Amino acid sequence: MALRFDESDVKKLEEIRAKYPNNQACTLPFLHYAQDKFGYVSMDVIKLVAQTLNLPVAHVLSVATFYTMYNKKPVGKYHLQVCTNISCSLLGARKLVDKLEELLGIKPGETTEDGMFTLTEVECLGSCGTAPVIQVNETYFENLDEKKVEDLIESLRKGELDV
Amino acid sequence: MISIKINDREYQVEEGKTILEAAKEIGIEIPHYCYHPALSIAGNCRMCLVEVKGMPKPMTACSTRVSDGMEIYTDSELVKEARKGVLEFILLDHPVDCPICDKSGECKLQDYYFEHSAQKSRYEFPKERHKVEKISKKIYLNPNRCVLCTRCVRFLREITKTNELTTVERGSHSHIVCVDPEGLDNNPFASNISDICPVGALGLNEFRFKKRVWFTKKVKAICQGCAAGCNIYVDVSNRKQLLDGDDDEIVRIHTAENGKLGQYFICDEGRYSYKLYNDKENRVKAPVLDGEEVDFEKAVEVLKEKANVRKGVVILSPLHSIEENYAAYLFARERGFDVFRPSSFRKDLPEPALFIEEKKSPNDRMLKLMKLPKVSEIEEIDYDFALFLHNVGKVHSKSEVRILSVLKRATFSVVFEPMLTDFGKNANMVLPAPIFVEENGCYINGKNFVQHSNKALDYMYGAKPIWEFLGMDFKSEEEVFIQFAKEQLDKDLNYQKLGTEGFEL
Ligand code: SF4
Ligand code: SF4
Ligand code: FES
Ligand code: FES
Repeated sequence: MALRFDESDVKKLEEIRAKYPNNQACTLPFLHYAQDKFGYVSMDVIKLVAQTLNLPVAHVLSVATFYTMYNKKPVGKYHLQVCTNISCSLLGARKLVDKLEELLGIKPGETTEDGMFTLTEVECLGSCGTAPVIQVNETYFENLDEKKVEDLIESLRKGELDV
Repeated sequence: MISIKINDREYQVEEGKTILEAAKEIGIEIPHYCYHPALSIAGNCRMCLVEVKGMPKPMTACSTRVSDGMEIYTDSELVKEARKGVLEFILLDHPVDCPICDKSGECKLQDYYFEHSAQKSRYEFPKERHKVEKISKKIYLNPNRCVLCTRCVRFLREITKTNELTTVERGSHSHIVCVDPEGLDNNPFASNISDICPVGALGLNEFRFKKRVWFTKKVKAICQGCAAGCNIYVDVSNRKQLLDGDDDEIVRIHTAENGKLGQYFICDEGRYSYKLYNDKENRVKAPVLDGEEVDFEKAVEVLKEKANVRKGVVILSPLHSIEENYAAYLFARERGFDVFRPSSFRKDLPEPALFIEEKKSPNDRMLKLMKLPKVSEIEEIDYDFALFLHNVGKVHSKSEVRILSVLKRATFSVVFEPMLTDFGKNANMVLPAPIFVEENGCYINGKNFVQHSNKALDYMYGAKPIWEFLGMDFKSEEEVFIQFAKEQLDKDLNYQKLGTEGFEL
């Protein structure tokens, strides 16, 4: 199936384009837009964005893979992004990853079979002051420990949290 | 001009140059990976760190411009420490598989490690591994050996503008991938990435596991592929020097830069043209007279007798050096023979063409400068004696037809060529010509650069320069060249004056 942007996408993308000095500068917002639309940034999505912006595939691929914010594979309903950069690691991020592996039965980079959770290790989330941090979809959960992680998963499973 | 100090010595350098370039001109080599004279500045490898007085941290020499009064140290304790640190980082994730790496012996990582680091790895964690792959028919990529200098990426982005390679991911996961293998197959310059890769990450499939570079002799020569006259290194295996039972032959051709000419790369056609010269089967292996091999003395004797006529012609070749051509020209002049030149073979330019020239011969310009008439202007075709110099390659098809009829109609015809062709088959006598790497020779390229190509191999199969067959008294190639320069260019030139970068007319 060849991916494409439909008419309303094109209109919105044109609006985005108008805010930037050139096509290359639009790589990030276009990728975000495409991720929202298609769910994740596959190689086909990368090619589509490159074609839309008239940029080399090499460039868009390089940008898309540089940032962890673009999911190169489909993700579960809840995308758990554990910061394992220096501050969080010093404050026990490793233990949080271990705990999550145990609770969910998956390794970083994997998704649970029911499609509920995806576990990823990410670099600094810019919230070192409240480390360790986990970002669930768009929401930050801060000052965590193993107990709080357990509660977090529990509430997510029950659908009690809006993230 | 501004004045700077490097390692406490004062120098006058051009404003606007980077520290690395200014130092290079003075003759001080600053180690580097990502810097390349023909590519944009990346400043990502940190290998070029130097100390600049007044600056709080070491500076990257490739991206810092010189300024008046700047004091630079390229060998201080701080710099040594910095280089050691940079190399330790680069080597963290490196497989250190030099024994099976084809770049070994000419790898910058290997060289710099021994020079600036030479320490044991302190890294204890598992190393990240990527698959080694053929990314095109011509090239393989071993991402594990890559130092991420991005020279390859920048070459394909900035020079050929084809973008087949890119870096993906980041930090320690960062590596090079190919997004367009077919593009690389069709890129007429793709194989340059094997030359510009400072380590063994990119290499040529056909050179893989073929030869340790220290078993070759590297000689600077001029590519014979077209009128661009690119500077090349010809690596030859040398039976006499080496013990592994090899034949004398060309092992590979790679780029030799010529800054004056503005040439930093070569095309793939030129690079792979060496195979034509290794064709042992078709090599003319002795003088041949009416289908019979004869010895050198006999050949000289016959030539002397047959050339003792009134009406003779000598047809020179854009595929031969100034030396071969000019000796034959002098021979004709002495006897009052006619002299003609064939037109060069032409080929449509590929996309992108960059510096490739349409004319597929290295010395077309010489014959043109001499204002010799073309073979199409030959009016009367029945000569008593005809000599044609031919070489590996082709001449224009119309010239070819014309020359063949001259040879066929002449009372006695001689062809001087290294590989037997239709010309030789239609001549009374064939003389074994040397291939370009068997002799010193100069060529004038399309931009009017006179350039010298070095001898890399001994004459094979009884090949000799034309003047020896013609019984002329030249002691060396250079003697012919000096006479040519004096008589035809009105210049006092010799090989030394041409230097490594050539002389612009
Ligand atoms: S493959 Fe070679 S040229 Fe390309 S980035 Fe790696 S080390 Fe540099
Ligand atoms: S451009 Fe011409 S001279 Fe240069 S490498 Fe190619 S064939 Fe040889
Ligand atoms: S290190 Fe985790 S938020 Fe900065
Ligand atoms: S050569 Fe200066 S940073 Fe690479």
